[in-house]
Amino acid sequence: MTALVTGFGPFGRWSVNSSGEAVAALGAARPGLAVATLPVDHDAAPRALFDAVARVRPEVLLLTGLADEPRLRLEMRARRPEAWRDAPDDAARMLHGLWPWAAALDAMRATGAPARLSDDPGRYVCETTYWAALATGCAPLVAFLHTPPLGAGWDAARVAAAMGACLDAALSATSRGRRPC
Amino acid sequence: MLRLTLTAALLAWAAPGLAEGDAEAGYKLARMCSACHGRDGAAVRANTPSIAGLDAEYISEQLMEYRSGGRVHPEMNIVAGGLKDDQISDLAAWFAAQEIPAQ
Ligand code: HEC
Repeated sequence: MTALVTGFGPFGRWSVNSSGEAVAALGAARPGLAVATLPVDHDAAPRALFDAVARVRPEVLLLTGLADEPRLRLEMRARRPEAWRDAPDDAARMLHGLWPWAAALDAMRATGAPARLSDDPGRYVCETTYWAALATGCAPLVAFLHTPPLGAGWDAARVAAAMGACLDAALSATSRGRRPC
Repeated sequence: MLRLTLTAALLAWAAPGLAEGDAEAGYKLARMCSACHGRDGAAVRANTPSIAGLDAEYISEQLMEYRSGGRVHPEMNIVAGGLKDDQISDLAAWFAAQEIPAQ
Protein backbone atom coordinates (compact mmCIF):
# COMPACT_ATOMS: atom_id res chain seq x y z
CA MET A 1 0.00 0.00 0.00
CA THR A 2 1.69 3.20 -1.15
CA ALA A 3 1.20 6.23 1.04
CA LEU A 4 2.20 9.87 0.69
CA VAL A 5 2.18 12.32 3.59
CA THR A 6 2.64 16.04 2.99
CA GLY A 7 3.23 18.97 5.33
CA PHE A 8 3.76 22.69 4.83
CA GLY A 9 6.81 24.90 5.24
CA PRO A 10 7.07 28.09 7.32
CA PHE A 11 4.79 31.08 6.63
CA GLY A 12 3.90 34.43 8.18
CA ARG A 13 4.63 34.49 11.89
CA TRP A 14 5.14 30.72 11.91
CA SER A 15 8.88 30.33 11.38
CA VAL A 16 8.44 26.67 12.36
CA ASN A 17 5.54 24.76 10.85
CA SER A 18 4.53 21.80 13.02
CA SER A 19 3.10 19.92 10.05
CA GLY A 20 6.30 20.01 8.01
CA GLU A 21 8.42 19.23 11.08
CA ALA A 22 6.28 16.24 12.05
CA VAL A 23 6.16 14.94 8.47
CA ALA A 24 9.96 15.08 8.35
CA ALA A 25 10.17 13.20 11.66
CA LEU A 26 7.71 10.59 10.42
CA GLY A 27 9.63 10.17 7.18
CA ALA A 28 12.89 9.72 9.09
CA ALA A 29 11.27 7.08 11.31
CA ARG A 30 9.76 5.20 8.34
CA PRO A 31 12.27 4.95 5.52
CA GLY A 32 9.74 3.48 3.05
CA LEU A 33 7.22 6.28 3.48
CA ALA A 34 7.01 9.01 0.83
CA VAL A 35 6.83 12.52 2.29
CA ALA A 36 6.83 16.01 0.80
CA THR A 37 6.87 19.58 2.06
CA LEU A 38 4.64 22.03 0.23
CA PRO A 39 5.08 25.81 0.05
CA VAL A 40 2.36 27.91 1.68
CA ASP A 41 1.00 29.45 -1.51
CA HIS A 42 -2.40 29.00 -3.15
CA ASP A 43 -0.89 28.18 -6.57
CA ALA A 44 2.45 26.62 -5.71
CA ALA A 45 1.09 24.23 -3.06
CA PRO A 46 -1.26 22.30 -5.38
CA ARG A 47 1.47 22.23 -8.05
CA ALA A 48 4.00 20.77 -5.61
CA LEU A 49 1.36 18.28 -4.46
CA PHE A 50 0.61 17.15 -8.01
CA ASP A 51 4.34 16.66 -8.64
CA ALA A 52 4.68 14.48 -5.55
CA VAL A 53 1.55 12.51 -6.46
CA ALA A 54 2.82 11.91 -10.00
CA ARG A 55 6.09 10.64 -8.55
CA VAL A 56 4.66 8.45 -5.78
CA ARG A 57 1.22 7.43 -7.15
CA PRO A 58 -0.16 6.96 -3.65
CA GLU A 59 -3.18 4.89 -2.72
CA VAL A 60 -3.37 6.71 0.59
CA LEU A 61 -2.75 10.47 0.76
CA LEU A 62 -2.57 12.29 4.08
CA LEU A 63 -2.22 16.06 3.77
CA THR A 64 -1.28 17.96 6.91
CA GLY A 65 -1.03 21.62 7.86
CA LEU A 66 -0.74 23.88 10.86
CA ALA A 67 -3.76 25.29 12.70
CA ASP A 68 -3.55 27.45 15.80
CA GLU A 69 -5.47 25.07 18.07
CA PRO A 70 -3.92 22.86 20.76
CA ARG A 71 -5.15 19.57 19.33
CA LEU A 72 -5.22 17.59 16.12
CA ARG A 73 -8.11 18.23 13.78
CA LEU A 74 -9.04 15.70 11.13
CA GLU A 75 -10.81 17.54 8.30
CA MET A 76 -13.57 15.59 6.55
CA ARG A 77 -14.32 17.95 3.68
CA ALA A 78 -13.18 20.94 1.67
CA ARG A 79 -15.18 23.79 0.16
CA ARG A 80 -14.57 25.12 -3.31
CA PRO A 81 -12.13 28.05 -2.93
CA GLU A 82 -14.04 30.30 -5.36
CA ALA A 83 -17.09 30.03 -3.09
CA TRP A 84 -15.43 30.83 0.23
CA ARG A 85 -16.49 34.44 0.39
CA ASP A 86 -20.02 34.63 -0.86
CA ALA A 87 -21.65 31.30 -0.39
CA PRO A 88 -23.23 29.26 2.37
CA ASP A 89 -21.73 25.80 2.89
CA ASP A 90 -23.93 23.88 0.51
CA ALA A 91 -23.33 20.44 -0.83
CA ALA A 92 -22.65 21.59 -4.39
CA ARG A 93 -19.53 23.43 -3.26
CA MET A 94 -18.19 20.63 -1.12
CA LEU A 95 -15.93 17.66 -1.64
CA HIS A 96 -15.44 14.95 0.95
CA GLY A 97 -12.36 13.04 1.92
CA LEU A 98 -12.48 9.29 2.42
CA TRP A 99 -10.81 7.86 5.53
CA PRO A 100 -11.71 5.56 8.41
CA TRP A 101 -12.58 8.66 10.44
CA ALA A 102 -13.61 6.95 13.67
CA ALA A 103 -10.68 4.56 13.70
CA ALA A 104 -8.22 7.35 12.95
CA LEU A 105 -9.59 9.52 15.75
CA ASP A 106 -9.33 6.64 18.22
CA ALA A 107 -5.83 5.81 17.06
CA MET A 108 -4.62 9.40 17.50
CA ARG A 109 -6.16 9.64 20.95
CA ALA A 110 -4.52 6.35 21.87
CA THR A 111 -1.14 8.05 21.42
CA GLY A 112 -2.22 10.47 24.15
CA ALA A 113 -2.96 13.36 21.79
CA PRO A 114 -6.29 15.22 21.91
CA ALA A 115 -7.98 15.10 18.51
CA ARG A 116 -11.33 15.92 16.92
CA LEU A 117 -13.15 15.76 13.61
CA SER A 118 -13.82 18.97 11.71
CA ASP A 119 -15.83 20.25 8.76
CA ASP A 120 -13.89 23.52 8.42
CA PRO A 121 -10.36 23.36 7.02
CA GLY A 122 -9.94 27.11 7.51
CA ARG A 123 -10.29 28.88 4.14
CA TYR A 124 -6.57 29.22 3.53
CA VAL A 125 -3.87 27.30 1.65
CA CYS A 126 -4.72 24.14 3.60
CA GLU A 127 -8.24 24.14 2.21
CA THR A 128 -7.11 25.12 -1.30
CA THR A 129 -4.75 22.17 -1.30
CA TYR A 130 -7.29 19.73 0.16
CA TRP A 131 -9.82 20.86 -2.45
CA ALA A 132 -7.25 20.43 -5.23
CA ALA A 133 -6.43 16.89 -4.04
CA LEU A 134 -10.10 15.89 -3.90
CA ALA A 135 -11.11 17.60 -7.14
CA THR A 136 -8.39 15.85 -9.12
CA GLY A 137 -8.77 12.46 -7.44
CA CYS A 138 -5.16 12.38 -6.28
CA ALA A 139 -5.68 9.08 -4.45
CA PRO A 140 -8.53 6.74 -3.49
CA LEU A 141 -8.07 7.67 0.17
CA VAL A 142 -7.48 11.33 0.99
CA ALA A 143 -7.73 13.23 4.26
CA PHE A 144 -6.36 16.42 5.76
CA LEU A 145 -4.98 16.61 9.29
CA HIS A 146 -4.45 19.92 11.07
CA THR A 147 -1.60 19.90 13.56
CA PRO A 148 -1.15 22.17 16.63
CA PRO A 149 1.74 24.66 16.87
CA LEU A 150 4.93 23.33 18.45
CA GLY A 151 5.63 24.36 22.02
CA ALA A 152 3.15 24.17 24.92
CA GLY A 153 3.50 20.42 25.32
CA TRP A 154 3.79 19.65 21.61
CA ASP A 155 7.06 18.66 20.00
CA ALA A 156 7.57 17.25 16.51
CA ALA A 157 7.84 13.68 17.84
CA ARG A 158 4.48 13.88 19.60
CA VAL A 159 2.75 15.31 16.55
CA ALA A 160 4.46 12.71 14.35
CA ALA A 161 3.28 9.85 16.59
CA ALA A 162 -0.33 10.97 16.26
CA MET A 163 0.10 11.60 12.53
CA GLY A 164 1.52 8.11 12.09
CA ALA A 165 -1.44 6.63 13.98
CA CYS A 166 -3.84 8.51 11.72
CA LEU A 167 -2.06 7.15 8.66
CA ASP A 168 -1.93 3.60 10.00
CA ALA A 169 -5.68 3.59 10.58
CA ALA A 170 -6.15 4.19 6.85
CA LEU A 171 -3.53 1.65 5.85
CA SER A 172 -5.10 -1.07 7.95
CA ALA A 173 -8.61 -0.21 6.77
CA THR A 174 -7.53 -0.58 3.16
CA SER A 175 -5.83 -3.88 3.77
CA ARG A 176 -8.81 -5.23 5.70
CA GLY A 177 -11.33 -4.29 3.07
CA ARG A 178 -10.72 -4.40 -0.64
CA ARG A 179 -8.66 -1.96 -2.59
CA PRO A 180 -10.73 1.04 -3.54
CA CYS A 181 -11.15 1.61 -7.27
CA MET B 1 -20.74 -32.07 25.54
CA LEU B 2 -19.21 -31.42 22.19
CA ARG B 3 -22.69 -30.97 20.81
CA LEU B 4 -23.55 -28.44 23.49
CA THR B 5 -20.40 -26.46 22.82
CA LEU B 6 -21.13 -26.51 19.15
CA THR B 7 -24.66 -25.26 19.66
CA ALA B 8 -23.43 -22.50 21.91
CA ALA B 9 -20.85 -21.49 19.34
CA LEU B 10 -23.46 -21.46 16.57
CA LEU B 11 -25.80 -19.39 18.68
CA ALA B 12 -23.05 -16.92 19.46
CA TRP B 13 -22.30 -16.71 15.77
CA ALA B 14 -25.91 -16.21 14.73
CA ALA B 15 -26.55 -13.48 17.31
CA PRO B 16 -23.45 -11.32 17.51
CA GLY B 17 -24.81 -9.98 20.77
CA LEU B 18 -24.21 -6.29 20.22
CA ALA B 19 -25.62 -4.26 23.04
CA GLU B 20 -28.53 -2.01 22.20
CA GLY B 21 -27.17 1.26 20.87
CA ASP B 22 -27.51 4.80 22.09
CA ALA B 23 -29.14 6.87 19.34
CA GLU B 24 -27.82 10.16 20.70
CA ALA B 25 -24.25 8.90 20.57
CA GLY B 26 -25.09 7.59 17.10
CA TYR B 27 -26.17 11.04 15.98
CA LYS B 28 -22.75 12.41 16.87
CA LEU B 29 -21.01 9.64 14.96
CA ALA B 30 -23.35 10.08 11.99
CA ARG B 31 -21.49 13.18 10.82
CA MET B 32 -19.01 10.67 9.38
CA CYS B 33 -21.77 9.24 7.22
CA SER B 34 -23.41 12.51 6.19
CA ALA B 35 -21.36 13.01 3.03
CA CYS B 36 -23.18 10.13 1.42
CA HIS B 37 -26.18 9.03 3.51
CA GLY B 38 -27.07 12.42 5.01
CA ARG B 39 -27.05 12.95 8.76
CA ASP B 40 -30.53 11.45 9.00
CA GLY B 41 -29.97 8.57 6.63
CA ALA B 42 -31.69 10.09 3.58
CA ALA B 43 -29.10 9.65 0.85
CA VAL B 44 -27.60 12.87 -0.50
CA ARG B 45 -25.58 11.32 -3.27
CA ALA B 46 -26.27 9.29 -6.39
CA ASN B 47 -25.79 5.52 -6.15
CA THR B 48 -26.02 5.60 -2.38
CA PRO B 49 -28.82 3.89 -0.46
CA SER B 50 -30.92 5.69 2.13
CA ILE B 51 -30.50 3.94 5.44
CA ALA B 52 -33.09 5.77 7.58
CA GLY B 53 -35.62 3.48 9.19
CA LEU B 54 -33.79 0.27 8.38
CA ASP B 55 -33.86 -2.35 11.08
CA ALA B 56 -31.16 -1.67 13.69
CA GLU B 57 -30.02 -5.26 13.66
CA TYR B 58 -29.73 -5.21 9.88
CA ILE B 59 -27.66 -2.00 9.98
CA SER B 60 -25.33 -3.47 12.62
CA GLU B 61 -24.87 -6.65 10.64
CA GLN B 62 -24.06 -4.79 7.46
CA LEU B 63 -21.55 -2.54 9.22
CA MET B 64 -19.81 -5.55 10.73
CA GLU B 65 -19.71 -7.16 7.32
CA TYR B 66 -18.22 -4.05 5.74
CA ARG B 67 -15.76 -3.82 8.61
CA SER B 68 -14.53 -7.36 8.12
CA GLY B 69 -14.53 -7.14 4.33
CA GLY B 70 -17.21 -9.85 4.10
CA ARG B 71 -19.45 -7.41 2.22
CA VAL B 72 -17.36 -5.64 -0.34
CA HIS B 73 -17.70 -1.99 -1.23
CA PRO B 74 -14.61 0.23 -1.51
CA GLU B 75 -16.03 3.22 0.32
CA MET B 76 -17.99 1.39 2.99
CA ASN B 77 -15.06 -0.92 3.74
CA ILE B 78 -12.95 2.15 4.51
CA VAL B 79 -15.51 4.09 6.51
CA ALA B 80 -16.57 1.06 8.58
CA GLY B 81 -12.99 -0.20 8.95
CA GLY B 82 -12.04 0.02 12.60
CA LEU B 83 -15.48 1.04 13.89
CA LYS B 84 -15.88 -0.38 17.38
CA ASP B 85 -18.81 -2.61 18.32
CA ASP B 86 -20.42 0.05 20.49
CA GLN B 87 -20.04 2.66 17.74
CA ILE B 88 -21.77 0.28 15.35
CA SER B 89 -24.73 -0.25 17.68
CA ASP B 90 -24.99 3.49 18.37
CA LEU B 91 -25.04 4.28 14.64
CA ALA B 92 -27.60 1.53 14.05
CA ALA B 93 -29.84 2.89 16.80
CA TRP B 94 -29.68 6.41 15.34
CA PHE B 95 -30.41 5.53 11.72
CA ALA B 96 -33.07 2.95 12.63
CA ALA B 97 -34.94 5.64 14.56
CA GLN B 98 -35.09 8.04 11.59
CA GLU B 99 -38.09 8.39 9.30
CA ILE B 100 -37.90 6.56 6.04
CA PRO B 101 -37.53 9.38 3.48
CA ALA B 102 -40.30 9.94 0.96
CA GLN B 103 -39.30 8.73 -2.48
C1 HEC C 1 -18.23 7.86 0.81
C2 HEC C 1 -19.64 7.58 0.86
C3 HEC C 1 -20.18 6.83 2.07
C4 HEC C 1 -19.97 7.11 3.39
C5 HEC C 1 -19.12 8.24 4.00
C6 HEC C 1 -20.74 6.16 4.14
N1 HEC C 1 -21.39 5.32 3.28
FE1 HEC C 1 -22.60 3.74 3.82
N2 HEC C 1 -22.83 3.25 1.84
C7 HEC C 1 -22.29 3.96 0.79
C8 HEC C 1 -22.61 3.24 -0.45
C9 HEC C 1 -22.20 3.67 -1.84
C10 HEC C 1 -23.35 2.10 -0.06
C11 HEC C 1 -23.85 0.97 -0.96
C12 HEC C 1 -22.74 -0.05 -0.92
C13 HEC C 1 -23.04 -1.39 -1.47
O1 HEC C 1 -23.59 -1.49 -2.56
O2 HEC C 1 -22.72 -2.38 -0.75
C14 HEC C 1 -23.47 2.15 1.38
C15 HEC C 1 -24.14 1.19 2.14
C16 HEC C 1 -24.37 1.27 3.50
C17 HEC C 1 -25.21 0.35 4.25
C18 HEC C 1 -25.95 -0.86 3.70
C19 HEC C 1 -27.32 -0.43 3.24
C20 HEC C 1 -28.15 -1.58 2.76
O3 HEC C 1 -29.28 -1.30 2.32
O4 HEC C 1 -27.71 -2.73 2.81
C21 HEC C 1 -25.18 0.79 5.54
C22 HEC C 1 -25.93 0.16 6.72
C23 HEC C 1 -24.34 1.96 5.59
N3 HEC C 1 -23.88 2.22 4.34
C24 HEC C 1 -24.07 2.68 6.73
C25 HEC C 1 -23.15 3.73 6.79
C26 HEC C 1 -22.75 4.39 8.01
C27 HEC C 1 -23.30 4.07 9.39
C28 HEC C 1 -21.82 5.32 7.68
C29 HEC C 1 -21.04 6.25 8.60
C30 HEC C 1 -20.24 5.60 9.60
C31 HEC C 1 -21.64 5.27 6.24
N4 HEC C 1 -22.46 4.29 5.75
C32 HEC C 1 -20.80 6.10 5.52
C33 HEC C 1 -21.55 5.12 0.85
C34 HEC C 1 -21.08 5.71 2.01
